[in-house]
Amino acid sequence: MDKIYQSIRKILNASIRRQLILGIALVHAILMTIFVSDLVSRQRSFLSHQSVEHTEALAISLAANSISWVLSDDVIGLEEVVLSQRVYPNIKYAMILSPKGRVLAHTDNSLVGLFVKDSISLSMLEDPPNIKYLVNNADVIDIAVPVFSDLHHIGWSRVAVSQEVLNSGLRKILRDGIGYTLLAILVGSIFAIFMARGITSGIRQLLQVTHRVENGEMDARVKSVRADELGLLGSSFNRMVITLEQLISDQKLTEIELTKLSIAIEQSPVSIVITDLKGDIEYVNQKFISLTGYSRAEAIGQNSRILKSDGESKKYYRNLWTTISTGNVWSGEFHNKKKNGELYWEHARISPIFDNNYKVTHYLAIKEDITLKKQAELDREVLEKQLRQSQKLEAVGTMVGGISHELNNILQSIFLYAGILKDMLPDDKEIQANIEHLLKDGDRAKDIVKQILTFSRKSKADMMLQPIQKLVIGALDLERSAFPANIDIRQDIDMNCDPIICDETQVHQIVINICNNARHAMKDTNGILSVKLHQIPSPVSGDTIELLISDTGQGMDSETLEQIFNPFFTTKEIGKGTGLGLSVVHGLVEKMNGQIDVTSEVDKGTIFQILIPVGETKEDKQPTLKPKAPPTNFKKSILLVDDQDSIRIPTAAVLIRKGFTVTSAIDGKKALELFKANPEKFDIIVTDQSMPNLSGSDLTKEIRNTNSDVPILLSTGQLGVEDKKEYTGIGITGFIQKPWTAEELIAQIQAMDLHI
Amino acid sequence: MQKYSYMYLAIKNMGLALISFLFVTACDNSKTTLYHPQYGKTVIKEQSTHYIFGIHPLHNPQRLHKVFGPVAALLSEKIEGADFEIEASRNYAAFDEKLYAGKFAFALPNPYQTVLSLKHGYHVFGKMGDDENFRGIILVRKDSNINEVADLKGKSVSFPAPTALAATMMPQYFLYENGLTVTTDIHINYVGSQESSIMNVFLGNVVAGATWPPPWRALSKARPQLQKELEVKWATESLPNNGLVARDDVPPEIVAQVAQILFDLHKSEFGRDILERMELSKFEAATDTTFVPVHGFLEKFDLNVRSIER
Repeated sequence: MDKIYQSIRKILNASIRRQLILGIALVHAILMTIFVSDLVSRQRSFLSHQSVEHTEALAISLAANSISWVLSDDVIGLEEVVLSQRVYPNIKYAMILSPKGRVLAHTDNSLVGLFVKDSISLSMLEDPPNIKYLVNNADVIDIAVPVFSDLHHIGWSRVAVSQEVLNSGLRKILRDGIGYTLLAILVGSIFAIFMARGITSGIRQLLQVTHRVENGEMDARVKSVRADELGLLGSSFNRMVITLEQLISDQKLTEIELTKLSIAIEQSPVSIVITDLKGDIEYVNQKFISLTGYSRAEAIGQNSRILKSDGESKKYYRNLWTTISTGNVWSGEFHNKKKNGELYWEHARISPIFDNNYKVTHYLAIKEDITLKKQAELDREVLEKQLRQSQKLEAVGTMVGGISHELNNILQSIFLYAGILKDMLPDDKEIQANIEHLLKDGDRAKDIVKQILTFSRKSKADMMLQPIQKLVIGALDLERSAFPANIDIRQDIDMNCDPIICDETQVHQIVINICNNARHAMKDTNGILSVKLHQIPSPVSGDTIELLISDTGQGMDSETLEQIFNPFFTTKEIGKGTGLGLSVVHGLVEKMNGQIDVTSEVDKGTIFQILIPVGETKEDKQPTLKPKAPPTNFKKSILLVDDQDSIRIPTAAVLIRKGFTVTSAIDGKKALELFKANPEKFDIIVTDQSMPNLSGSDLTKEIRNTNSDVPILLSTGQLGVEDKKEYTGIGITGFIQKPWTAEELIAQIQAMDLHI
Repeated sequence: MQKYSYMYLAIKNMGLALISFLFVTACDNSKTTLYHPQYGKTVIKEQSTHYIFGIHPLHNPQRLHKVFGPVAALLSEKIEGADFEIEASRNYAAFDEKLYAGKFAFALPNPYQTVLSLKHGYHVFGKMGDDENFRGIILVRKDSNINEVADLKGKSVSFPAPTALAATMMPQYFLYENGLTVTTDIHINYVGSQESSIMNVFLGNVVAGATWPPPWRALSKARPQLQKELEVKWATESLPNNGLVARDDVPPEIVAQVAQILFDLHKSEFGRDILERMELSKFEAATDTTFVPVHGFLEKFDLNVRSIER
């Protein structure tokens, strides 16, 4: 039995087709079996019951109809009544018995008068008179009903009905039922086979396509033209595969995008932090890790306040949380702290992350390290400050330059007229002394103007590559004499420093001006003036020469520090200083492509730090004049060109007194007309540079265009190396810087004459 | 192929199990022993002498049994060693046959039958009282047009039985006396019982019906509608009431005891109840000579109305 069960189970589990066939067949069998057996059973029961009822009814009817005959002891009448029962089908016998069991009437009239003697019959007689179901089996139903007349038991009515026909009918029904059952099983099985084949073929096809899709063949489709549910299933499956294909494709794209985004976030150059609503970190990217020093494991779970450096106030953070917790974006800067305690600046943009219900679930912080930028901002502020300072200085310089130029012209006039007066009154010693005073003051004024022009950069320096250490030492030597004995001057000069591009005068100016300030700061104390010079190596940006000049004077407060490089700013009494010293120093350092910085503390002292890059530049050479024999003849014809009457007239007078033939022109244009009118007339042309209509250099170009090689002497306030080079390039033969004296002019003319 | 063999094996096994189940369920599990009643001549030994007391069809057998059954029970109770059974007859002819065959040990025939029973081994030992009730009455529907006896001419009239003295013979003689030749002038329907004769009138099957007072009273009492719709049109003269006869072979002491019990019925309440059902006041002693007037009537009837056994 177990083997049978196992084999059945094996068969059932292997295939839906088999399950369907067996299931339908089994269902048919069971149902039909139940139906037939139930039908037969019910039929039997019903018919038996019906038979019993009919038999009982017959007996009762017989009893009722027999009362009068029994009372009358009318055997004939009883017989008629009993025999009338024969018409009932299947009646086996009917009888009327006396209470003692004597047959009063019987369907078999030969039995009339006899007494019943079997136990069943006798039991009827012995028991109280009521309906007796004497026999009820498959063969016969025998029921006895007492005959009563007015409650007096007067006899028995007994009827027996044969069950033979009933049984025969039931057997037939059963036989037919079995036949129908078997037929139903057969038909059901055949139907099941076809149906199962039809269903499972569709399922098998679906299964095959499913396997193909499972193996990646997304182009697999169910080929079905069925109109039933399997056909619909196949169509749905096909649509599903198409959708699945699209979804997979979309998913791949999404995955690529997500991966790209993930990589982008992870590799982002900015820190990305995601926190929960409490600020606890849930995600950090690689930049955060590298910036802060916290590993991902260390950061995640921690509150973002681990980065706090107390650089921001509580109010600042309150504002932050209020902004983001209300769904807004906050933007600002933090001065945070790394894991190792190092501080850094970052610009953060913190925004809330919303879910689909617009509820804030997280916060996203995108933070950019702006430490360098901040530093650069600070540096830029400093530089802008310096630039503003420089621009201010340049503006002042330009203004001052213009004034100085005019002063030069005025001084030139003073020098000329003073020289004339000196020439005209050689014997008047008092006048000569006064004129000397005048000339001395004029020199002083000339120096001041020169200083101003230097500050304003109108005065071109002789920038050349030269070691600064000698220049500094030279300047210090000059200053020593000016310092009182109670101030100790210390120097630490590295004589091996590389040369820098500088102007000797300017270096001296720098050292002297700073030392003068130091002396002023220590005037009432026993201070120390320290001058250090050394080279700072820097393979990247190039070495730098650092000049440190420090004092132990009264120092300066921050307000004073901010203004010390401003032109005309001075802490000295009125008349004790021009306020241009440090301004000039600032400008000169810039001209050397250097930078100057000062630190000071009140009552402690001040340190000036000057940084100048080492380097080289082209050396400017003054055109070398060919030596010539000393002049023997002053009778040269000079074309004198100057638009200033105050210069031209006395200059012409001086030259004429010296024996020159002078032709004056009030400007370059006039001079060119005069020259062109008679180019051979003039031996030398002395011209001012700054003139309206035609400048001195332009006049020179015009004259040279005529192929004349007449010597030209240019008089100008600015005469730097570059200027000389430029003028020489256009054909100017000689230069003289204003303000000059008559003797200087004549000497220069004579020098040019020697070289002509 | 192997998979199909598995399948067939499974189906086969299931089929066998199924068929077995069907056969099992189809079988009737009850015992089917053939039964036939057994008969014999064994006489059940009576513990007492059984006397059949035949009552002529005063009523239908059931009513008769109801009325006279208590008498039999009383007699059985009172008389030791005797068991009395009332036996009715389906009709007068049947009663006559049994009476004249000597079936009854005791009988209550009508006067005519009483007289004839004397020739068949019976003797009179008593009679019903209330002779005045022993007369015939002819009923008609109240809505009928029968007013005179002559109105019955050519019509159907019901009578219980030919030998019913009060209910048939005496009414027929009355009709003779009133001008009808019964055998030709009317259609006679012998309907078998007093109740049938009354009901035939009620149902309109006949224009008139004959009976005698006790059954008319009893039935009309039981069915008030009869009282409403029928009326006693004519009544005959009276004769001695029904007699009590005993077969000559019945022990005299039994007869005496039966007589005494019957004659004393009116003396007890129980007995009076019994008598009331009979519409009778009492039973009384009588002899063969008591019924001589009946002889005279029978002679006149035989002569004038129709032939009867005398």
